[in-house]
Parts: sequence; C-alpha cells; structure tokens
Amino acid sequence: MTKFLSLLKIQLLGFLTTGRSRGKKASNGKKVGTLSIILILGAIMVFYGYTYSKIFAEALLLTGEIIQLLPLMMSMACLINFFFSFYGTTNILYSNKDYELLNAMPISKFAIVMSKLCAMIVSNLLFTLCIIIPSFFVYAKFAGDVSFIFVVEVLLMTLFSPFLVSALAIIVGLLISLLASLFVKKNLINGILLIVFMLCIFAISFISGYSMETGLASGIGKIYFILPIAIKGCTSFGYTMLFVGINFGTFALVSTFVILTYKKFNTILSTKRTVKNFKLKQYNSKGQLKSLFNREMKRLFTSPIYFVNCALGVIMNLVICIVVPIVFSSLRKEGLFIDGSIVVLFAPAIFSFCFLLSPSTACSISMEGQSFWVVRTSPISMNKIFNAKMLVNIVLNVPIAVIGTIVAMISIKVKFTLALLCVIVSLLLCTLSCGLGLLFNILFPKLNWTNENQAVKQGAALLFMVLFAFVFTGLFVLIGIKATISPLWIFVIYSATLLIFNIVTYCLIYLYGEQWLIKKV
Amino acid sequence: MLEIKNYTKKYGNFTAVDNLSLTANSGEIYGFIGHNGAGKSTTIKSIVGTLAFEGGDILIDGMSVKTNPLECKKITAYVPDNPDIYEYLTGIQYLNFVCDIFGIGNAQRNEKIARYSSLFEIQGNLGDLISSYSHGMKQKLVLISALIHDPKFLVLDEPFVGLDPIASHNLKEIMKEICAKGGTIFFSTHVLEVAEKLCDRVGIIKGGKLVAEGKVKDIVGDKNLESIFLEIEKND
Repeated sequence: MTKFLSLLKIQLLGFLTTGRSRGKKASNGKKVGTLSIILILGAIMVFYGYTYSKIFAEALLLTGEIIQLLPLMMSMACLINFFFSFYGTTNILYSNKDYELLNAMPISKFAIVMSKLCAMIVSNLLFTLCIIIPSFFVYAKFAGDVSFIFVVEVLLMTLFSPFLVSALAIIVGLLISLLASLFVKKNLINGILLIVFMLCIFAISFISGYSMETGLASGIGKIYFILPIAIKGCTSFGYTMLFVGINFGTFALVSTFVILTYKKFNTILSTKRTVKNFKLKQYNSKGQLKSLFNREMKRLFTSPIYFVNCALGVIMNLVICIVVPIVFSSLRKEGLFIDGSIVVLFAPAIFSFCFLLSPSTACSISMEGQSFWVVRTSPISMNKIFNAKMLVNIVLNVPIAVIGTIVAMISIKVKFTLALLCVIVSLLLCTLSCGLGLLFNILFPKLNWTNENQAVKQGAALLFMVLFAFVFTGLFVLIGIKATISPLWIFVIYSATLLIFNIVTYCLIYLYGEQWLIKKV
Repeated sequence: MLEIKNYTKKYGNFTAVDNLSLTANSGEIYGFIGHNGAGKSTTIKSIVGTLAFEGGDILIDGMSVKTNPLECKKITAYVPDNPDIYEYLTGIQYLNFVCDIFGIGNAQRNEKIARYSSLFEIQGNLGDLISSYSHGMKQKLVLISALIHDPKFLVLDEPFVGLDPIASHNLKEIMKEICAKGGTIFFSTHVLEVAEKLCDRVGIIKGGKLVAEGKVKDIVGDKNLESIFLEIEKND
C-alpha cells in the first residue's frame, strides 16, 4: 500500500505540475505566479462552465427538461476527459520511460498500473468538478427546489463519471497504438489514426447534433450512450446506482485487463522495427533554415501527442469551414434571413479559440528536451531556430485560415471589404498565436521531461495560451454582442489592435528571445 | 587554440568554477581531469556555448565565445557525456541535418559519411530511427557528426563511455590524426590510463579550481597519473 501511495504521488505530480522541473526548488515568486495562473485559469473555466450551463438551462427550461442540465454538463466533461485519458494511455500508461525502472523494482504490477490509472481518474475528476459545481448552482437557480437525495445522486454520478470514459479511452488508445506498431513509422501512423478518430467523433457529433425535434439529450446521447441513465439517475436512486455500476464495472474490467496484459503490450509497443539492407546514397545539401524546418516538421509528425495537440485548432477550423456553408445554405432553404454582417462579428471569437488554444510553437522549444544542445552548439543563430519553429506553425495554419475564412465569408454573403478585413483579422490572429506561443515557451521552457505529455500538455506556456484563448474569445463574443458601431469599423479596430500586438510580440522575440531563453536553460 | 582566462561560473551563491585559467595549443590533446562535480562539465558547457558565465572569458582561435559565438561554433565540435540526440530522425537524416547546419557540400558529406560510418561500423544502421539505437550506437553517431565537418577544435566530454574496444581504438587514432593536422582536442575523462597515454597536457580540477596543470611527463614524473590524482584528492 505504501508503494502504491508513493507511486500515486509521483504520478499525480507528473499529471498536475507545470513548468517547474522536479527536483528544483521554485522561488516564492514563481510559486505565486504559477498558482495565480492556475487559479485564474480555474476561475475562467468555472466562468465558462457557468455561462455555458446557463445557456443550456435557458434552452431546457423552454422544453421543461431542466432536470437534464447536470447530466448534459457531465457528458460534456466526460467527452473532454476522454481525450485527456487518450493522451494518458499512449504516453503515460504505455510506452513511458519509467516502465523499465519501475519493473526492475520490487513493486507489483498491480501497484504500478493502478497508480497510473488512479492519477488519470483524479485529474479527470478535478476537471469534471470544475464543470459540474458551477452548473449545479445554475441548476439550483433555475429549478428552485433541490432535495438532499438529488444532491447525493448527482454527487455519486459526478464522482464515478470519469471511470467509464477513462476505461474506453484506454481501450481505444491501446488499439490505435497496437495497430500503429505494425509499421516502421509507427508514430506517424499513430498520429494519423488519432486524427481520423477525432474527425469521426466530430462527424458523429455534427450528424447527431441538436435539433428542436429530438432535443439536446438525444443528440449528445448518441455519443455519450449512458446519458439516458444519468438523466434517470437524477430522479431515481436505482438508476444512480446503475450509472455508478456501469462506470465502475467497466473500469474494473479494463483495469484487470490492463494489469494482466501490461507487460505483453508494453513489450509490443516498445519493439523497434528496423530497415533491412540499408545502403548509402548520394545526399544533397540544403540551406540551414530548410533543414531546421524539415527537422521541426519531422518532430511534429513523429510525435502523436504533439501532432494531435497542434492539429486540434486546424481540425476545428476545418470543421467550421465545412459546417458554416452547409448550415447557412440549409437555413436559406428554410427561408430564414440571416444578416451576414452581424454573424461575422463572432468570427474572430472562433478564430482566436482555434488558433490560440494550442499553437505548435507553445511547446516547440520544450520538445527539444535534452537534445537542445545539438542546435545550441551549432553555428546557427537562435533567431533562425525560432524562425523554423514559427514557419511550421504558419505553414499548418495559414492556408486553412485564409481558405476557411473566404469560404465562410462567401457562404454568409458578406460585402467584399468586410470579408477582406475578416481574412486580415484571421491572419493576424494566426500569426499572433504563433508568436505568443513561442514567446511563452521562451519564457517557460520545459526541457527536463520524462514523457512528451509533460512537454506538450503540462507546460506553463500552454497554460498561458489557454488563458489567452479564453480571454480573447470571451472579449470577441462580448464585443459581438454589445457592439453599437458598424461591423466594418469594428474590424478596422480589430486589425489595428492585432497588428500592434503582433509587432510587440515579434519585437520581443527577436530582440530579447535569445537572452531570455539562455537564462532559462 | 583554446584560452580560458579567469573563468568563473556561479549557480546562485555556489561557485562551481572559480577563476580558472588554462591554455590548449594547436596540435595538442588536452586532458581535463577531476572527480564528479569538480566542474569539468560546467567548464566544457561554457566552452561550447551552452552555458552562460559571469567572470572571465573563453577564447577559441582568438575569438571570444561571449562576443563571437557563431564564429567559434563553426570551428568547434562537441561530444557531450550523454548522447541525447533526435530520436525521431534516422541516423542518416541526423548526419545530413548536421551537414546542412555546418554548410558541408555534397562531395564532402558523402565522402565523410561513408568513411566514418564504415569506420565505426554503423553504416547498416543509418536507415533506422535513432530511438532504436543502443547507447553505444548513439555515441558513435554523435562522434561521426562531430568529425564530419572537419573541426579545428574538438571538445569531448567522457567520449569513451559506451564505446566498444574497436570504436575506442579508432577514436584514439582519429584524435591523434586531428592533432597531427594542427587541430586541438580538449577532453574530460575518468579513465586516467587513457589520459596518461593519449594526452600531451593535462589539467586537474578540484572543487572548481585548477590544482595542477602541465605536460603529462612533468606532472607524472616517475609515478603514474592515477597516483598523482589520488594524492591531490587526499591533500585536502
């Protein structure tokens, strides 16, 4: 038990720590700074949870289904938890650098696996609570009457809700990793399969989305299939226990399976495939920047977690580009008039969310890890290294940003000048996210990591980017709602402001980036 | 070739290296010896430009690593104590990357890759991902990448760790070859026998201070380097 608790503590530290590498004492200033950022981020998440559940509650009140609010919010949290667990499966549960170290110690397989799984559940539960607690207050406000038994039922379901999604994510993550391990370029295949899987989830959610006829729950229930039980669990303790049973039972089954097969699958996943009969060819030289760019691209495409994380914004943007024309054409067919110049006011909110949430630059320095010495001892300027990192981000995002915005503008029939300004705003947000991501990674590099998950998902740089994404998105929505001047002027102001932000960001990178980074590493 | 003048490196209040001065001339193999934590790697990291320092200066071929880092790096090659390199690249991709960064032309890169990969018996593995390499294979690849651009100054941190006997022998021969051509080698090692046989001059560092320096035969006299080193360590 002591060994399990020690392992659990280490795993939780791995899940929950950010920019500071373990073993180093952080100064009080840094501690306060990190804590402040986490608290602000938590407050923003609570705010968004509250606002989002309020919108849901108002819609549900119209149909007299307010009882569905908490199960619906729980299902939202579960869907996001699914992706967190997915990352955890492919990087922390399996193929982790600590595998050999832990297995060489007198610790049971049960303790090793359960410590990793419990850490996964705890982090998922923390996120679920951030969503459910504000939603509960919204429910209490709208429903009025909240009984003690209802609180118990909701609490039980909340506590057990991360179990099923974590178990399913483990199975899906393992299957994808096993399939990819059949290939020499298994990391690339793994990344592509993850993207395909995510696109399928997006497609299902789009196809089975909300409609007035079927209601919110039936749409979401097609993805989160135990949602009907959760809804009934709010009024019947029997269903609450059924929900708890399904969650815990599935998790117990999957955990047993993982414990029994842990060694076997880790061996399969860590087996390296090699090229037979390699012969040297004649190789040609490339320029420094091109070579650095190619290396950055290979880094991105050979790390599934890095690839998926950075592709998330691009995918969301792509999905929106496809969805907007379809939605608008169907609305027009139904004879509904939509003022494009009003709708376009909310476009920057979508762009900022897609671009700012996870730019590749926010972890590109951290991803260098212990091999950063290679470029640091080479005759290349740090600014050239920065350029290569930013170029990757620009190449991935700009085409989608420009084409997507043009398609969206055509489909919502906006005047040329406004459409052009919208494209400029989209581009400026794209370059700003790229620069800000790099700037934060320069200020908060994390080179001492044991698995890529720590570099990609747990860096302070990403934390700042998430913070910025929420703040910018919120501001754009607020301006969109409250705006009293013409959309054209709003976009002129947006363009000018974003241009200034871009200039400041890039000046800081090129003038101080190198010296700031050297101080940190 | 290498001139360290009053070099001082501090980590907060702790002085890792204190007022170190030494010189390694062209055509010389210089051995840098000291126990764990004496300040060898700290000094080496400052020489190759991965660690900033407060006091003194380090000159490579007359150029300061502080004011002229890129020019210094062009003529320097570095082999760290741990071969952490890009595991997502294949061996050949890594070598081509290094060649591109150092601006090596097609003819030279093809000739050098063929020569050194054959010498270190790694040619058949160059198509594999570095993540599949053993520690020794990674060390060989790092050595090839260091030698591929014909450096005038070679800095090696524990270069023989993980190498098989043939590779170790080949590396020693290459080190002598570089020096015969007028190059300079500055390397740290714990294997005192190797240092004694291979080096022209040695410097012994203890607690961040250079406690002995000079030609090997002058320092050793009629004893051996190991007994001298042990005497220095005991005299505290």
